[in-house]
Amino acid sequence: MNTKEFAEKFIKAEDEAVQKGNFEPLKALEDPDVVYHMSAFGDLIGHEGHKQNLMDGRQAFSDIKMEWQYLTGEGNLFALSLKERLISSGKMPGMPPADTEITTNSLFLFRLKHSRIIEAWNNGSWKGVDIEAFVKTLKK
Amino acid sequence: MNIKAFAGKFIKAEDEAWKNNNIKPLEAIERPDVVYHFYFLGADVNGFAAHKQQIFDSKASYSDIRQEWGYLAGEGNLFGLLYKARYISNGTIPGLPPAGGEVNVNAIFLFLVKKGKIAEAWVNGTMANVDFNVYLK
Repeated sequence: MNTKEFAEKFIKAEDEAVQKGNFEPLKALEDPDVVYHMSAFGDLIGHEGHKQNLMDGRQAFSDIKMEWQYLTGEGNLFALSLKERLISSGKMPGMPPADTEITTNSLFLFRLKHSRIIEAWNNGSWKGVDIEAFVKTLKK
Repeated sequence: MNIKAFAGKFIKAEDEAWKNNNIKPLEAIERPDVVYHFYFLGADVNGFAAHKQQIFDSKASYSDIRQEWGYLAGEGNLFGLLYKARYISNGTIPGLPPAGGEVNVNAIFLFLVKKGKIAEAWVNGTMANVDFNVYLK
């Protein structure tokens, strides 16, 4: 499998999910038991867990701009960087007031199994929000 | 090449550099023109000599350095590591905490190996308690 082509499919699928709320392309690329190890949030378990995280993001932010970049890939592994510019909707407890700008900058490492994403690791930074305080809000 | 074994060599080499000032094992597994893309520093570290200098500069800025590496995954010439560290600032570098203050690092490292040596690495994560507006100047 060409990991760069797969990565491009993933980027399009994320865009479709985040911008239009259409999760079908993403579902087709992820194992139902996929695990996303997110340094900021903890683990997202299963496609449904990932989908919920993205749906929460659609609720919490407006005018979401994502800039993905393919870094490298080999066999069943590939890496992407992601830069985002988000505008807080003010609707999510723990997030800044409406119209506040938030930026993120992170790296993803993806592992595939049987041509689907089975595991991913993400680590990076958030600006414009106290992400640790936000996560504590979610856990309450 | 067994990529997990190579990752183990890298971790030991970093340990040697940070704990014993012995940079030779790291030099043996990095290309002279290696590039580290440090996203959270907003800058690239170009070449082994610059990477070595970065380690020595950090060692001069901190004491009681505790580092923990975790292997995430690897295949072919690509592997990923998780890095967690706790440093104690000696208070000499603007932007870092006053003497005795703690800096906590949580980062992901992705490595690309060419001809048995690290050619490129991407690093991103967080450094808690650092004022980057001051530190990066």
